[in-house]
Amino acid sequence: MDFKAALQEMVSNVDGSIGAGLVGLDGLVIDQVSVRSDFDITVAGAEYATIIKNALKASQNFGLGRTSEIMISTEKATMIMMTVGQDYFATLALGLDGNLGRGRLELKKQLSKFEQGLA
Amino acid sequence: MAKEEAEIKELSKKLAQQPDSMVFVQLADAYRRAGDLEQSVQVCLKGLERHPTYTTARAVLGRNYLDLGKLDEAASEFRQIEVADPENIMAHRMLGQIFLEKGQYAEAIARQQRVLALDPDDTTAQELLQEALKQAKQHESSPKAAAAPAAPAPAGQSDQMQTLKVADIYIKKGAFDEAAEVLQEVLAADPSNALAQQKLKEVNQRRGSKAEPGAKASGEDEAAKRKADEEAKQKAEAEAKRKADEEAKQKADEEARQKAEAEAKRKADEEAKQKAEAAEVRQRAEAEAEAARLASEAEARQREAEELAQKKAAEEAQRAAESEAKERQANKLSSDDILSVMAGGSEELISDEPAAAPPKEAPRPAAAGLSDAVKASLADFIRAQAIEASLLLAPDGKVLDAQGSGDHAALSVSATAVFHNTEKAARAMNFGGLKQIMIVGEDTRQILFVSLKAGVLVALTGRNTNLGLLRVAVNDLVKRV
Repeated sequence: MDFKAALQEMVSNVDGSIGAGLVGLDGLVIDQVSVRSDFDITVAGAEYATIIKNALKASQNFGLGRTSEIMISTEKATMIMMTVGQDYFATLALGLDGNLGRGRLELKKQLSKFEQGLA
Repeated sequence: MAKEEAEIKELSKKLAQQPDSMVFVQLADAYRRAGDLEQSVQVCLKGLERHPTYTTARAVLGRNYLDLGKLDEAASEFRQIEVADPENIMAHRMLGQIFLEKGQYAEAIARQQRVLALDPDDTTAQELLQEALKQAKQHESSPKAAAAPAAPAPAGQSDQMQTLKVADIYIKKGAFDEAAEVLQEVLAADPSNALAQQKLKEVNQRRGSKAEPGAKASGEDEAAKRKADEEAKQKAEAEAKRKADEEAKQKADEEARQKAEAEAKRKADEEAKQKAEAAEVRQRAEAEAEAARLASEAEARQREAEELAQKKAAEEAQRAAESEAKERQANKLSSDDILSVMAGGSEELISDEPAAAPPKEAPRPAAAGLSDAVKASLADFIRAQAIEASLLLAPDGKVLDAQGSGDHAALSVSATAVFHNTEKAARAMNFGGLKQIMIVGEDTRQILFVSLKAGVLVALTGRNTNLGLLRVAVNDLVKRV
């Protein structure tokens, strides 16, 4: 499975993408693509893992069950994260002008490929 | 020669170990074959002192004496054999030979005749007899012999009878000339011997018939000859058949023996194989049983360890739950706390709106400190988006407003921690301050964290909420509050 190609395809199909990555819940990056030089998931893998773990905890506390998707909006970007199996998640980062709806759609389209590749 | 020497050495050793044994004969024979006749004689004499009736030893001794030229001693030994065994052909033959050498032709002839009487097919005896007759004839015809008054003594009556038997043997074989010669000798010694005369007459008749060219053999002779030939043939055939039968029997016996041995060996091998297989099966079964026992023990130990671990985990979980409950209880905000917050001076934190006048109706504690505009906006948002529950939290985690059911205090602690940690991570990623978090669960419900001026709104949406509309509503809420 060429994860990078899938990530690249996803980034190419969504306007305003900053980058995308496939990350383990332990914070180790499987693969990533970056459009902007200031975006590097490899460096921020631990922070992504923190976000995911907090989200998982919140889901449990609020009785939502297993977390399937997380969206984070900050002052500079929006990040969409979707879980891949039990141990991984895929993320797509968009600029403030990014197409959030298209971003969610493209990410969902690649999920099955990631799951097959990581199985 | 070296072989004989080694044999002599070995046999001497044996004889020394067992002086009473018969091995002295073999030793004497070995000396004889080695050419040491005197030593052979000594061994025989010594052995015969212990075994005087051992004829084989006497035969060896006699031969030694004969080869040494001691004819009388040799004759003495062979006569002793003859006494012990009157039909001993070897003794008669050797005595005949000794008599011939001594010039006692009648004795020599009688001895060979005796041998032929015992074994008509003995060719050696036949040759010796012929030689004896020949020498006797020569002796008689010699002047010395003729002048000698003591010519070979006329054979006695028994000698004459034996000589006649020799003539009969020659007649049977068709050697009529030799038969006539023998008979003439008998008649020479005893001219009145009627039997010899009769036989000589018959021999001469046969010689004449045989000598006459074209003469027709008498029917009687032909028949006798045919009969003799037939008998000889039958005898030879019978003998051959007997030998063949004997050989066949021996062969069959040998084959049967070999077959029995092979069968016995096969059975023995099979039994050994079966035993080995049985032993192997037994060992394997024992090994499997031992392995099963060990596995069972290991499994039991593992089960015991798991049960122990589960018990410990349950105890720890119970302790943790109790500890957490205690902590929650300790952290739980009481109504008084909330009321004090709502009544306290945190208005600048939660709203930039002017403080609203106290409501006339009994106010909800959490909303007491919020402006009417904020409260209205929150109420609209909650109602429009079908929010199941919501919390408005101050930056320090205190609950400013709570809608819906549930343990608001506990949820506030968890929500505050989630928001703060996520905000910290976002800043570390250089994405600036955190504005919203939306967590979608597997049942499609969502938790929404919205950073407002008044605090952090935490809202739990219902199922199948339209995310796009929700996002628009959130943005609108942020602008209004």
